[in-house]
Amino acid sequence: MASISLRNIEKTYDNKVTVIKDLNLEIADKEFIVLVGPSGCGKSTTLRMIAGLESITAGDLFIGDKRMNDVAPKDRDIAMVFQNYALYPHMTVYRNMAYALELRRVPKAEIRAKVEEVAKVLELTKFLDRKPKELSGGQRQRVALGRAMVRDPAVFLLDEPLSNLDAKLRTEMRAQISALHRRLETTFVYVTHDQTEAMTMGDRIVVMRDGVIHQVDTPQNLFDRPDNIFVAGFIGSPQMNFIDATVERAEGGYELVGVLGRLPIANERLADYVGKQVVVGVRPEDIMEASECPDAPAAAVTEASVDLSELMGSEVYVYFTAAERRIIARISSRLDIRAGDTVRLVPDLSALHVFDMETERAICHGLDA
Amino acid sequence: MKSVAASLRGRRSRPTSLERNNYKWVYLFLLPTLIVFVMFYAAPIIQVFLTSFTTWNGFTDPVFSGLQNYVNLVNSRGFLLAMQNLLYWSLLATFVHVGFGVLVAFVLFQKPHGWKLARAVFMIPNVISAAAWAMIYRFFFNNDFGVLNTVIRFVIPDFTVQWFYESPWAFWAVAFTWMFYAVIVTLVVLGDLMNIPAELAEAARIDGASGWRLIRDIQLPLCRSSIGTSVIVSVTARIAMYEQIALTTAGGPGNDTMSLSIMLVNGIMDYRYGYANAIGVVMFVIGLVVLALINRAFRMDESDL
Repeated sequence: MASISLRNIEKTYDNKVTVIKDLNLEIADKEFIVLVGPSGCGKSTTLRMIAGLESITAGDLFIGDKRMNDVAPKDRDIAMVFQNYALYPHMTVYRNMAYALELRRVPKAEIRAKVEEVAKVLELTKFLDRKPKELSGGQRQRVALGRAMVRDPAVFLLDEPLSNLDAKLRTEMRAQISALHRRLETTFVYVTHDQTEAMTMGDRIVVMRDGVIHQVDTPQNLFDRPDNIFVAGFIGSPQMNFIDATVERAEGGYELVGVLGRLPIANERLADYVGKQVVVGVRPEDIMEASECPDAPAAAVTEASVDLSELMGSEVYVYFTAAERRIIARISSRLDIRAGDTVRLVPDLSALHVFDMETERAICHGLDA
Repeated sequence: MKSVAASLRGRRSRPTSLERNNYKWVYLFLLPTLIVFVMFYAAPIIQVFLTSFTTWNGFTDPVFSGLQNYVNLVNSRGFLLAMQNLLYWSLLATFVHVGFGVLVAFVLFQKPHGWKLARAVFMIPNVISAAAWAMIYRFFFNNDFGVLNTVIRFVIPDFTVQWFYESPWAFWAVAFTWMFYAVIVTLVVLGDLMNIPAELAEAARIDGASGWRLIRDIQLPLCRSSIGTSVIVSVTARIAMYEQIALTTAGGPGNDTMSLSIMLVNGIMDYRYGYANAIGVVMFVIGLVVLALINRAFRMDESDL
């Protein structure tokens, strides 16, 4: 069992390309932490540095209280699950799982007991004599997990372990891995580009871009209180709408004046922004048809013509254009909105996010009030 | 065409009319190859096989003589030594020649400084004909002005050995003309090595395999088919080996470096075509047996991937 501490970590390739810049992250013992971000954001590199597969250019890596920068991967008490499983193709499932223990000269009987125990948990018992090529994708994934589990590592590192599986299996394995984490009570570091995986599995999520951490927080906070425009846009599907607006002083607070009308908001942090442009973020699910929200002030209601509507089942994604901005709203499908219809829309005023136009950092969130 | 391919792989179900229609085209396209194969391959082999049971000088008609050629061959002075040489050379080919090629492949795989140049230089002996190479070795091993003995004489001034003409050195001198030229082995194995996904080696590193264990447990087994191919190529080359012997020792001293190929050519020189063809048949059968054995030893028909 171990905490992980990354302090001022940097990674540069060939003294030229810096992919990780001054990264600081504290991962608590037994925590399930998810590194998420677009491809090339440095999340896999960070994981591989923890694993010891990549050298660390500068900074310190601690696992537990031991500095691990120069410790060989096998001595870090970690196990890793790879995207392509990385099973040894010429070994049976049994030997794939037993191999690490063999190398540690664990007695044969002990290895057998351990492998059989893990195989039972992962429902792999009847496949122990097979080779990886005789298994399905999901079974291979479980073998990869089993190979990590038999070693009882202090830290599990998982590098996009589900991206080679089909959608249904992915959902299943997601739940399995979460259950495994609760059962093993071990630190998990999980890399993915899939925000659903991040949101559903992580105790905390690290959102990265261009080698920099943009926010570390619980899934709920990440969703409700994104620190900046990147995080706000990255988390949530469909993406948050961003609209330019001007802050004006009004009765009882301020108003955000833009293509969505005049949106009243009472938050003193806007005091410095009076007369300036800001970016207002509204999630599609926070835009409603005016009839669903009779209390909304008339000035906050926008009339728009629907460009496209996508029926998703219980709800419709409604695309419309306001002042050359494409805006998406997620509306109950009972309203039966079609392309060409004119709709009256109003944002949920308590769920607005306001960002500084220059720094892209959040100024305030509707939920703050 | 997929269904045709599946049928050709041995699916036993009855072909549909569409498939039968396709067969027509399959055989039509195979025809040129079949004709060439029968004319230039199958026919000569059958002829060699048939005439091996005859007494034939190449001018008069062959006369059936049963197994006489084979009996003569087995009783000939060179035969046992030729078979013994073949066995030892094959062992050297398998363990030293292929082993060295594999070793070089693993060294190059580490991509040491200048590995591409090394690979190219290693290739050079392969673009020189075996005959020219044998001649080069005649000079290399020459007692009076050869490089080897000149160097040895720096240490032992009176040293004198006729490598190609003295027992037991001739066997080894002939072996040296090919033993370390294993660039084909190196290239084939290096190709396999480079195809091993990087993640496998990483997984092994995390599991705790490094150095020798990584090579023994992961990399060597995954190069199994290329090493098997190399052994087949090297051993069959030993069966067919001719120039390296003919141009250096011609089978001597005595019958020290005798081989079936030398005996075969000698048979032709003596106008004993039936006898020579009997040797050809023996070489052919040995080749098939070796092929089958190595195929089985390296499980060449199975793939783990």
